[in-house]
Order: sequence, then C-alpha cells, then structure tokens
Amino acid sequence: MKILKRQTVLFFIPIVLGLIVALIYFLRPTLPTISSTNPAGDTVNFPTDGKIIVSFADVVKNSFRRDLYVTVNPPSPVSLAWHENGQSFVLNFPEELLPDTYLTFTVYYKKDVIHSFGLTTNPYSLKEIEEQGKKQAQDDITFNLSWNQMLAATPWYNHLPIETSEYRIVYDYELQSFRIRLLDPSGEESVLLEKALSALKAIGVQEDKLKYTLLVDR
Amino acid sequence: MADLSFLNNYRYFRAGYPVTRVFIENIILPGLDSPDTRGIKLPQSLDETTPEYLSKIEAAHLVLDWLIENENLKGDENSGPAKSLYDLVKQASTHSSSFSKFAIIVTTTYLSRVAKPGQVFTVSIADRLAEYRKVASSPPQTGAYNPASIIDEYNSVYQEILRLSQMGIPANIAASLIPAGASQASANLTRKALAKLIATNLARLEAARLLQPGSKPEDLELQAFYVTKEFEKILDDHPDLDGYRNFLGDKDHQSKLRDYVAVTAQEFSGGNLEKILTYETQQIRAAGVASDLLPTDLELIQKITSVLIKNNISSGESQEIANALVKQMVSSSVRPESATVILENALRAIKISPQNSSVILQALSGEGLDIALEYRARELRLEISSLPPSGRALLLQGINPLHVLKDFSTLKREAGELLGKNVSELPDDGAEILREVSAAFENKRATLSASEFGRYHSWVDSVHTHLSLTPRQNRIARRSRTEQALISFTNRVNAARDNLLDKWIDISDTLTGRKLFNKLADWVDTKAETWLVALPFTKGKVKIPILRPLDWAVNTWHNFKLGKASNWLSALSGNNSPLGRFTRFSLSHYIKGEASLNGMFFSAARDIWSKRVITPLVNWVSTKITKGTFKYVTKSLARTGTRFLLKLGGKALAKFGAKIVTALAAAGTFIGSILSVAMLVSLVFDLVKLAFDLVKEFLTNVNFRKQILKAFAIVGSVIAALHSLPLIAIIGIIIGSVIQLIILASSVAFGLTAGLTLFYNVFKTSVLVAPEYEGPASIGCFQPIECTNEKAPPGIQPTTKSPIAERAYRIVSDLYQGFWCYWNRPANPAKTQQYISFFKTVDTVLYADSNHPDIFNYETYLTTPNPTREQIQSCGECMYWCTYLVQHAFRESGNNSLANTLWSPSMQDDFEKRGKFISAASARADNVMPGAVIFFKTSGGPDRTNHVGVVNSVNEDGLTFYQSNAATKSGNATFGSNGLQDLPGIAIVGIGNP
Repeated sequence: MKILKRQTVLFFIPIVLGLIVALIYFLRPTLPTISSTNPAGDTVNFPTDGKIIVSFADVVKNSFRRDLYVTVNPPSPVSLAWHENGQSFVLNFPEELLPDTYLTFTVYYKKDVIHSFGLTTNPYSLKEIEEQGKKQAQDDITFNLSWNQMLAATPWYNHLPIETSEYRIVYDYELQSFRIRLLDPSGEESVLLEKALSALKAIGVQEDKLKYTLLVDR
Repeated sequence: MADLSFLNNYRYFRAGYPVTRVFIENIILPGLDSPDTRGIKLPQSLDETTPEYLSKIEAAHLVLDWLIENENLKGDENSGPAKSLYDLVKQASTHSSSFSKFAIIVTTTYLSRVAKPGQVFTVSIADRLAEYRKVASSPPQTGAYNPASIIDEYNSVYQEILRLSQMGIPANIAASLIPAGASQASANLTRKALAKLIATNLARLEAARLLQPGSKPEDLELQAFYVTKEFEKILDDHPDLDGYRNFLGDKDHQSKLRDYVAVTAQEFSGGNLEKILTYETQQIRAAGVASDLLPTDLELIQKITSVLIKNNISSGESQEIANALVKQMVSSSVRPESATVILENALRAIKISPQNSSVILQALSGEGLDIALEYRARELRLEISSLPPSGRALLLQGINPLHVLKDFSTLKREAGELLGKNVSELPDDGAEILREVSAAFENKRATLSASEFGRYHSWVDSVHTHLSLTPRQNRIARRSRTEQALISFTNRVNAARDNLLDKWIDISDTLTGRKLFNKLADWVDTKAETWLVALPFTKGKVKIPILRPLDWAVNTWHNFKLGKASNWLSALSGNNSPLGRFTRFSLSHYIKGEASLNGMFFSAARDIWSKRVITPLVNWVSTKITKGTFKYVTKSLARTGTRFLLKLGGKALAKFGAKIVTALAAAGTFIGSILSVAMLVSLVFDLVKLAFDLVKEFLTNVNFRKQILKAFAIVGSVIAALHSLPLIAIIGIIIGSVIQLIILASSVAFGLTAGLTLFYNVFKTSVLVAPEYEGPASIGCFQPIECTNEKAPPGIQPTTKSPIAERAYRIVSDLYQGFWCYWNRPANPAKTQQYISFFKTVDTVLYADSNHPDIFNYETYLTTPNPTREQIQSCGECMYWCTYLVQHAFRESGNNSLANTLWSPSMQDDFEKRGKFISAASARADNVMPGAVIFFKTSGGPDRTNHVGVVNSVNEDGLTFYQSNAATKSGNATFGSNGLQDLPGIAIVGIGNP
C-alpha cells in the first residue's frame, strides 16, 4: 500500500510540476512586438536632426510602457514620446546626432531586448550643410559666368535638341557642327534634310555658319 | 577742338572716312584695350596689302575730341569730367595699360544715356513729346535756349527720313521685309514699326554698313552682315519686335535690310554721308534736351495738384496724390511701366478707393503727364545699376537718389552762385531759398544759357527732394553720399593699385632671369614625365622619375601607408571586440588624416570633440593626451612587466626581462631615430618644394601674384595699426631726432596707404552693387536690372518615367527669377502679395507639393538683387541653389540614397563612394539613367565640380537636363566619340546615377 502510494505520488509529481510550468508559461505577460520603424533599419543618410517613429503590432499597455526604454550606441541623448494611440512612439534627439556614424538602437523591456535596428547618419552635420550652401553660392556664381558666356556665343543652344518623328538635331562640339539624325525610315532623305535645315534656321542659325553631319537610321 | 592734322598721315582718313560713334565703338575702343603695341589696325580694303596702324595716343585724342564735340563730355584738360580722361591719356603716354582703363571709362560713357540716344530717346518718345507740347501751356525755354526747337529740328529731319523710307524704292524693299503669310493688318503694322525703328537709327545703321572693319564698298555681303548685326542690337531695346529676329538669319533678308538702309540714306542725303552724321548729332542733342523740356518734379506736383483742384478734389488730397504719384514714379523706375500703371499704383498706395481712382485717372488723362512720368522713370532706370545699396533703398521709398547726391549746404552754396549772393545772405529755410531762386530764374530767363537752364532744373529737383526727406530718409541719403564718395575713392585707389601692379608685371616681364627660370621650369616639367629609371623590385620593375625622385619617394611612401592601412582596416571588418573596434576607429582616422599620426589624432579629435570643445582647445588637449598617455602606458607596462617577471622567476628572470625590454627599447629607439631623420629630411624637402612651388606660382600666375601683393597690403595695415599707438610719441620725436622721424614717418605712411587699401577692400565687400569685374568672363554677371516677372516654362518636357526627373520638372516649373535674374526664387504668393509694390504681380503656384517658398531671402533681395560674391558669402539658404533641386527631386520622389549635402563636390563624392558615378568619358546612352545627376565644372574656375543638374531624357545623341539658379531652367549635352562632350567653357565631369 505504502509502495503504491509512493508510486502514485511519484507519478503525479511530474504531471503537477508540468502543469505548473505550463500554467506559468501560458500566463506569463507577452512582450510587445515592434512591427516597423520609420525610417526602416539600415537606412543611410539619416538626417542628424531627424526623428524615428517606432510602431508596435498592437496597442502597448500603460503598465508595459513604463518599463520600455531605448538605448543608442554610440551613446547619444534620446527621449521617447508615445503617440496617443498607444501603438507607436517617436524618438527625439535633443542634441544633433554625430554625422557619418552607424547608430544602433536597442529597444528594451526591463532587461529584455525586444528589438534592435541600426542606421547610418548623414555624412555632414547641419553646420557643415549650411557651410556647403555658402560654398555652392560662390560656385554657382562662377558657373553662371561661363554659362552666360556660352549662351551668348551659341544663342541657339537652348533651342536644342530639336526632335521630331522625322529627325533629331543636336550640336556636336567635337566636330563643331550640327548632327542631324534622320529617324523616319520611310521619308525621302533630301526632304527630311531640308526640313531639318529649315528648323535650324528658324532657331537663328545663320546659313553661312550652318555646318552639319548627316546620320541616317534606316 | 584739338589739332587733328595727324589724320592726314593715314590712308584711311585721307580716303574720307569720318570719325563716328560706330568707328570709335568698333575700332578704337577694342584697339585701345588690346595689347598690340603697334597701335590700332585701321580698316582696309581687301586689295590693300599693307596694314596701317593708328597710334594709341592719337586714337585716344580722337575719342576725346569726338566726345567734346558731340556734347557727351563736359570740361577740358583742366576741369570737369573731361579732365580725368585727359589725365589718363597723359598717363598712357608713359604706361600702356592706362589705354585699357581709358577704353573702359569711355565705353561706360557711351553706355550712359546720351551716348546711346536710342535708349532714352525712342521713336515713341519723339512722338509723345510733340503731343505733350500741344497740351503744355508754356513749354520751358529761355531767351537763349529753347529745347523745343532742338526737338523740332530733330523731328523734322526724322519725319523726312520716315517719309522717304516709305516712298519709292525703299517702300518696295520694306514691303519685302515683312514675312510672307502675315495678315494685311499685321504686315502694315510691322512695316510701320520697322520703318520708324530704322528711321530713328538710320545714322547708326548706315555707319555700320560703311565703316565696319574689313568692309569695302563692293563687299555687299559683308555690309549686309554688319547692318544685320547692328540691327539685332537695336532690337534688344524693342521686345515688341523680337519675333522679327527669326528672319535675320536669312541671307536674302540681310541683303534686303542692307538695301533698305542704303537706299533710304541715299534718298535722304543724296549720298552725302555728312548729312547722316548731322542727323545723328541732332538726335543726341534731342536726347539731351528732352529732359529739360519736361517739367521738374516740383512743377509736376504743382501741375497735378492744380488739375485735381480744378476737378473738385480738395487741395490737401490733391497735394497728397501729387506727392504719391512722383514717389511712385521714382520707385517704379526699377521696371518699365506705363504711366497708367504708375498712377494706379500710386493711388493704391495711398488707399484711394477704386471709384475715386477712376475719377482721378479721368481728370489727369489728356494733360500730357504720361510722357513726363514715363520719361523720368526711364532716365532714372538707366542710372540704377550704378547706385550704392542705400541709393536703392531710397529708390524704393520714392526718393530719387540722384537728387540727394549733394548735401543741402552744397545746394545752398549753389543757390548763392545762381543768385550772385554770399551764402550768409541766404535765408536758412530751404523753401524760402527755393522761392527766391525761382523768382530770380524767372527774371533772368531771357539771358539763361542751355547749361544754366539745365543746372537750374537739376538744382530745383535736388532742393525739392531734400525738403521732402524725413529724418530717416535723410540718414539714408547721408549714407548714400558717403557710399558714393567711398566708391569713387575706392575706384581711384583701385586704379592706383592696378597701375602699380601693372608696372611691376611689365618690369617682371622684361627680367631675363625670369624668362630663363620659366624656360627651365617648363623644361623640367616636360622631362620629368619622360626621364624614368627602371629599377628591379620584388614585384617587378619600378620606374622612378630621375628629375623628381623626392616626389616619387614621398608619393610611394604615402601610398604604401595608405594601402597597408586600408588592407588592415578591411581585414578587421566584422571584428567587434573592443580592441578590434578601437583599431578600426584608429585606422579609419589614420586614413582620413592623410596617413599620418598627426592627421589621425586631428581627424579623431574633430569627429569626436569638435561639437563640445572649441577646436584649439581640442588640439591642445589631444596633443597633451598623446604625449601623456604614451608616457603613462609605457611606464605602467614596464612596472607591471617587472612585477610579473619578479613573481615568475625572481631577480634573475627580472634582469633577463629587463635586458629584453632594454634591447627592444634600443631597437625601437634606433628605428624611431631613423624614422625621425627620414621625417625630418622629408619635411625639409617638403618645405623647399613648397617654397619652390610658391616662387614658381608667384612668377607665372598673375592672379596669385596680385593676391600675394594684396596680402602684403594687409600686413602693412597691421603695421599701420601698431604704429597708430605711438603716434603721439612721434610728434615728440620730430623735435628730437630727424633720422628717427624719417624712418617712423615712412613706415606710418606705408602703413596708412596699406591700411586704406585694406579699408577699401573691406568697404568694397559691403557697398558695391555689381560684382567686381574679373575679366571678360564676368561681363555675363552684369545681368539686366529689369528682370521678368513672368514664370517661364522649363523649356523641355519630362519625357521619361523617371520620378526624379518628373519631380525636377515640377520644381523648376514654379521657379521665378530672383537674384541676378537667375531662376532661383521659388513661387511665393504670400511674399509677393506683401511686397506687391515691388513685384507688381502675385506669384502663382502650379505644383504646390513640389514648391519650396521659404528658400529665398526676400529682405536681402529687395535691397541687393545683384549681390557680390562677398555679399552672398554669408548666405547659406537665401536662394534655390542648383543642389537644392537635386536634393528635393531625389528625396521627394522617394529616393533617399543621396547624402544630404548642398555642395556639388561633396555630392559627387557621395556618388563615387556608392559606386554610382560615371565619368563623362565613360558615359554612354546605355549607362546614363534619367533622373541621374549631371556634374559640371567651368574651364576658368577651380579644378573641380561646381554645378549640378538633373538628367531628364537620354538617347544615343545626348541628354537633356533641368537646373536651378542659372539663366535657363534646362540644358542639353551631346554624346561624342569619347563620352559626353564638354560645352563651350564648361566641362562635364560626369554622371551620378540614382
């Protein structure tokens, strides 16, 4: 009898323990799942003053939100603001992020990592971009001096290319002549050429300066 | 008139060719500006084989004589505006570069209003002046001067030409000038407009026909070409006839135009060229007196007020309207506007209701006021480009800046001269002086000459404007005068400095040593490329240039270090241990720091600390850390190692270990010493090379030389600043030590000059309106002040399905002209509404989702629409740069691969790093994608990319692209045998594919 009892007890102990484990497992709180981030992981050229939106698959309970936090590596101050729908939060960076740096963001619930993603910041800081704008200002002035000179020397430039179903005209700077390409296989060559030459005259090309190369696509 | 008997020495003048404006503009001025020491080549017939050259001194005197004779230039060798030109010609006799300056100043004089009568005295102005005189009760005149009669003289000749040009043979030719297919009505209108235009400019066209270089009477084709060229220039001022240009390329048409000009001129003068030239003189005089015929500002206000009072408008309100109208006329001079628009804007500005406005407009119509308003605005518009910034500020407030060029005390002194009284005898009140002078003028009217009349007119306008200034406007006027004086001063300093530099350049050109040095440098440059010694090495032969072994050694060593560091860095990729990360970090900064330890620390320090600590402090700290840490680490290692060895094997082992450490240290010291010596030698060589390069650059590069001399000027100014402190002491020294006085006074004088030069340079950056002249290329930077308010289409349609190109199209579609009249102002309805008096129309937006209205600084634009390089230096996002277009087109079409950078070279770097860059030579129709970025660099600019555009379409012949902040919104490039072909003066660097 005693033996039977002991056997019975030994038989039920694992079952009860199993049940207890199963119960603990099924009744444990489920960790929230992150469905997406905006910008997505591995984004490049992330603005150094940008923001990141982290979205969850479901609404995150208030009790969970308290224990959710995010770390940034290399370290940078970050604040987290929940959206009122409870399903996403925005990562704000009070200080400008380091430029040209791969940042790893890890979302923790207590000590558990629930999501990790990384992105690379823009190669240039905001100050550098502002300085670049100033440098481009100087460069655009330099460029436009040449551009205006070119327009004055070749007043027909901005009327090119001339393209119809029958021909296409560009200027060949190597050959110093217009390149006329006849495109219509059924057209009479001399007629098409005449039309193309008239088109060039119409944009102000003087006949005595009208040198051209004829190409025929047939 | 000067003695011009030297003309007889020249075949050209002996043949009867006269000195005309066209001859001066096309032959003399370009000749004076050329470096040809033989003189100015005179036109010759094709059958004349021996060229003849007019000496530059004689040419300059011809110009001066012509200017004085034709009333363009007042004064003589000793006074007036002519004096400065005479001085220049005198200087030119000893230094040839002054001819160039003389030519520039004369050209500027030509561009002033009287030298180009067509600009101020157009066909319609001639007609409307006649109308005005019918309604004006008493056109101004004196006993000795009657501007109306001068206009009449001109008009009668002009009407005669017009009549002749529409009769007989000229009429038949004119009929054939009208394009076939034009309707009868438009053909008549066009013919009339053409006839009037040609009649007004007949002297100019006829001179172009006969007097162009290389032309001879029988060369009709060449004559046709020059007449057409001149006519095209005339058309520049007549946008209404712009469509006519399309026919000017036709040779047949050119011949007809030449015939029309020749026949009309012949009909008019019977073949006598002098009569045509007399006509030109009459036209210039008419342009000069038109202003005197019209009422002064004060008379205009009085006239308007009296007309309005007659129409039952209260006296106060009439006065207010009249003042507003004159102010509006001044501020409207920025753009050409009709009198009606000026009136409407003036009434709107003082908030007159639309109903009342129509009553006022009705009352003022038919009073001949429109010609006065438009003509005065037009005169002022021609002067705008020379105004300093505060002058423009006055203009926008309705104050004519030309009227406040003199301060009130000067005007008072002039009043004394006009009245023949001492200044002390004049009343203090300006209005009282004005009344007194007006009364005296009326009394003396019978005896006043033309110049006295003109002076009185100008005086009345100036005094009246002074009296209407508010205290704030008075302050701006004072500033404007100071700026004007400083500009004139800086021009003089500039001329003196250039003169000095030119002299130095001339001297240096003659130095034999320099010539030999240049030759030697060129020879070394050529041979360095070819004289190579091949030495066996582990991986084959190495070619060493024997003339540049040091360069080769330095480059090889540098490349070796870079290569090794890059290999190690790639081998460490993925190693995330602390040591691995640290090594990666160090290596990457080592590479960024040009493969040097100093560079590595600097790069790391800059990346990590630059935002937290100011740079000098960081450098200091990093240097300290480097030294301190090294000492600490080595000491700690030695101490720990010794302890470890003691524990392991006692003193014997410790001694052995110490020996090893000593041996290692000795080896390290030895290697370190060798490296140090090598580095020292390398440093010395680098310094010598740098000095050599600098000297070479100084001797061969004019601009660099100018920069260096400027730098000396700056150093001089610092010396001046230092010397200003003991200035008081110097006074004492004067008594005590004559020698010391000379030394100190000399240095102070040098410093003062240099300081003024510096001051000039600093000042120049803040006041000049137009960018500094930088050689022929910068002519294009002087954009016309009259921009269009219209939003032009981009020129090419988006033909591909590239979302980037499509976006670029939408963005440029909504760009308006902004700074320098380039397309760099995104549409902004709110701002243009706010500044409606300036913009006149409100912007419209086609694609709101692609528009960036905030990227434009309106406050800067309103005062400085044509900023200099210096003025734009502090402006990061004040207009829509070319790089903004690329950034927005990419990002807004969902492509975030592009690094956020606003500088085109950095943008190119980004494409290169990502392997998306194709050089222009490798670009083909099959590897360039629509939506790609096209990179440009200008031939004369720095040797790097300086502009970008967005590629729209690509085919086997070429590509089209969109761009912003340029004179056109689009452009095209052609594929050739070697990739994308360069444009004239602009190289295509390559393509960055999306």
